[in-house]
Amino acid sequence: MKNLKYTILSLLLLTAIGSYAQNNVDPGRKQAIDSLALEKVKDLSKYISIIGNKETQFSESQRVMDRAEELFSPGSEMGVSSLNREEISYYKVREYFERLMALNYDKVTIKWYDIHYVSDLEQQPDGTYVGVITIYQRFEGSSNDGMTYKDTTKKDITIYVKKKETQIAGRIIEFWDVLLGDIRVTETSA
Amino acid sequence: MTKNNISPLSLVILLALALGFSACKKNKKLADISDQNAVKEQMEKEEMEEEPQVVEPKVKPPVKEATKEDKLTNYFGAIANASSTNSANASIQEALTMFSNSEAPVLIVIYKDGSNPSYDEPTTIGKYLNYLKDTKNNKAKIEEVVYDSNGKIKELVLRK
Repeated sequence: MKNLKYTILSLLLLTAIGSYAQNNVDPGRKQAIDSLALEKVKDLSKYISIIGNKETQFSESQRVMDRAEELFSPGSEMGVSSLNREEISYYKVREYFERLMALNYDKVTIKWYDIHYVSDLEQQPDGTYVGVITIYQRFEGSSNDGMTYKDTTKKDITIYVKKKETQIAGRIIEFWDVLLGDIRVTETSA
Repeated sequence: MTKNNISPLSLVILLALALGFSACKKNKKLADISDQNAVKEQMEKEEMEEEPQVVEPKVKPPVKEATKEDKLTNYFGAIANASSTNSANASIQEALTMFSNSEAPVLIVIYKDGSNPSYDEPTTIGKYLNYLKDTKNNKAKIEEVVYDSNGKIKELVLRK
């Protein structure tokens, strides 16, 4: 009976050590993953700026929309607010990009700034790292007839990072897959 | 006693004539040669006779030839810093000629600890070059280049 107890305890200990070794990421690697996720958000800000820019050619906008959409996990939504209404609308990211491109202004500038983590990437039981990055978006739209609209919104972006594998030239490559989730509006001001 | 009948003025004229004759001696030979090239040759020949020169072998300073990696790095910079979309697209088309095709894989190392690198999601060269154009983010440096039998790049490894 005593031997059985020690055997079970040993097995539990080995399982815990194995699990720790498999999931544990050294600080340097973790920092690189944090930076990678931040960079993806910065990439999205550039894409949104290009899509919104009225001088961007249609074919370029379509290509950039494809690239931007690839940054998101399937089904992700983007929140849109306005100083003129209370409620916040949510659109699937592709629809959001299409609407952004079609905005009824002659000139649109969108800039994201102060991009930072508000919730560090933390590992979940399934191995996925989840965190939240906050951004501030300055939107300015103007028409030739003098109509202008400006606002600043604070948005929270959920980040998912997971280790995946793919095959390149016959060999297995492990990589960190960063996907953006829903983007929620938390504040809107003039 | 014989009186010397050469006046000082005559002496001065004689001296001037002597000097003039001496100065023109070298040019006399040239005056006989009508062709310009021949004149040049003659002058050079005389100079050689007068001042034999020691000819030092000309050693060209070592010039570093641009490698394919350098060329590709320059394309990355040109695309990321292009002043217009058209200019960036032209550089992209030129850069793509270095690759076996636009689907050539690009691996981006984000962290390396010994022999265990961590990668970003693999992409293709076509997408990567457009990424440079869109984001202007040209931080990644060339780590490794794999060529095919035609000398074209078939795989690229970058490092952030």
